Amino acid sequence: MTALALIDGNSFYCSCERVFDAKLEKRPVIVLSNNDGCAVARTSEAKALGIKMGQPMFQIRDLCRENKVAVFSSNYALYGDMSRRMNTIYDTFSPDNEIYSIDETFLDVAPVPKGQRTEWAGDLRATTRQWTGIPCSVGIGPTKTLAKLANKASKHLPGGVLDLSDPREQARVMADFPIGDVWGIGRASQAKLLALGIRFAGQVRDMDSKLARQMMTVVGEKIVHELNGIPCIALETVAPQRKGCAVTRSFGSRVTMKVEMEQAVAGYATRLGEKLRRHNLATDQVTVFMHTSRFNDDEPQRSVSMTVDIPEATNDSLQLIKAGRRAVDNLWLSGFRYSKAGIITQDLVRPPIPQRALFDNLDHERAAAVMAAMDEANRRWGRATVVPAATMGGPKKSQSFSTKFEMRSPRFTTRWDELPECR
Amino acid sequence: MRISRVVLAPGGTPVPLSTLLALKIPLVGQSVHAGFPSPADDFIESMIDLNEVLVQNPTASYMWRVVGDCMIDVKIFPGDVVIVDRSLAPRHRDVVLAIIDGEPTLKRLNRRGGVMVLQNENTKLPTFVISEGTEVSIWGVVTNTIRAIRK
Repeated sequence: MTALALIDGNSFYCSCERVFDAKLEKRPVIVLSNNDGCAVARTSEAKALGIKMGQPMFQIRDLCRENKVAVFSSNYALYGDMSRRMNTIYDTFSPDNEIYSIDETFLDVAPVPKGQRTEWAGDLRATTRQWTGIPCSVGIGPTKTLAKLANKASKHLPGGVLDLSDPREQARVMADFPIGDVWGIGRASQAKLLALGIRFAGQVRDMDSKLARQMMTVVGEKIVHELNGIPCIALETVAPQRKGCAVTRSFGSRVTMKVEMEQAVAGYATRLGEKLRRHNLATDQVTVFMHTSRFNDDEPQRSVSMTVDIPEATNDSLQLIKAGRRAVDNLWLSGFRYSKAGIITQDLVRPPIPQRALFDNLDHERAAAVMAAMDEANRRWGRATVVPAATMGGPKKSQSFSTKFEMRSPRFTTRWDELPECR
Repeated sequence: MRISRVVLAPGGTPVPLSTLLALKIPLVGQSVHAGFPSPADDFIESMIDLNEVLVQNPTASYMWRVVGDCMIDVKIFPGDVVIVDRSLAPRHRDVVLAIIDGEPTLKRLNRRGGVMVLQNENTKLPTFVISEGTEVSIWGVVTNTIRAIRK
């Protein structure tokens, strides 16, 4: 019998800000998306003020000023480091984990005896809170969908833990759990279900799976099974490090133009090159993928990927960009609203050493020197100080992938010159 | 391309054996070194890692920059970096990072007849007293300091 726990950080980005500034404990806090566009993280106090998820900043500027809301730009260096620390802690509680997002991780809890899971989760939560300062919630269930549902329901509980291993407990919680909060039920599906008088998760669980498939595609059928405790979405534990390397992102807004996709993939290829060079690794093939959102089930769906071979193993960002562009050329099809893309390598090797005595390898050396200079500039003055032109695009679109961070807190844990200060 | 074995060139850069085999030539250039191999080759160890002595629990350790002078009698000066471990339970005589009314500050933790008190380590400063209504919490325990001697 499978059993999974989903642990996530409460208002994660805001909580990271609060760890290093205790005065924020008493104030509502929000964190803005890239380019300071809209609120992507809110503390409960900010939610109580009526600030909505994804609400544009221009709509809430006055509200924030009047209520002394602390407003931050995204500080991904900080959130990434705190996330890494949290996952290191999780690894000591369960070896088989899937990092689902920057603040959500699925843990395999099958080895923990049924009666002890709440205690185990409480311990996990307390250790994470103590070591990182981040408050978390834990939901446990036999499937990912139920673990996610338990996690959501646990937010209202003082202990921050809800174990739905027991079917009677599942039924009790699902009886009044709104369908809009069920993992995978988007706005379109929600409207269809409401039209049938289906308002709670318990009713979705009792749906005929064929009907669910008709209404909500294969996703709907999976949701019904998962709510019944039958796992349909497997735990994807991370491949051991160093075997492969990936840079993937969900887009802030859907990508519909090829030039945007080219810029995005060029950006990922640049980052991939940085990662490889930092570990002194290289690759001779990259896989590029792009797909639409499976939650927008009323839109045309597309999910494609392609692997490009590179003649000789490299970690030169410019070579990787070239390979990435070839893949985009082949894969691109207009008429879809893409939500995510990425670049992945499977086969990592040591970079070949230049054999200067035998071949004329001036190009290699020049490329290596350019990359070294770029890395040094980015290390010294911050990421993306120097970037390949391919990531920038033409004049009209040049803004889409550059990022504005006007109200960013210091990178407390990753920069010597930005450490927090104490008296 | 898979690394079947890794050989070390004299410069120390690992070279995948497969690359060498593919070329079907003896390694030249950097690798041609007449004479005897270094007698130290068999004894090469990795460099001493400062983290081993400075950071006992990296997952729970954070670095803070000291800007105040309340601990100068125990040689913690402005400009120093302190390493603060959140996983340790604070005990008698620890130097801790305390949050006093939202302000992070270093203090000595002492047990005085059953209660824990926080104190400055600077005889020039007035005795630190927590007044009624002050909010105090302990953020973490200081385990080490880093100070540049040659500025």
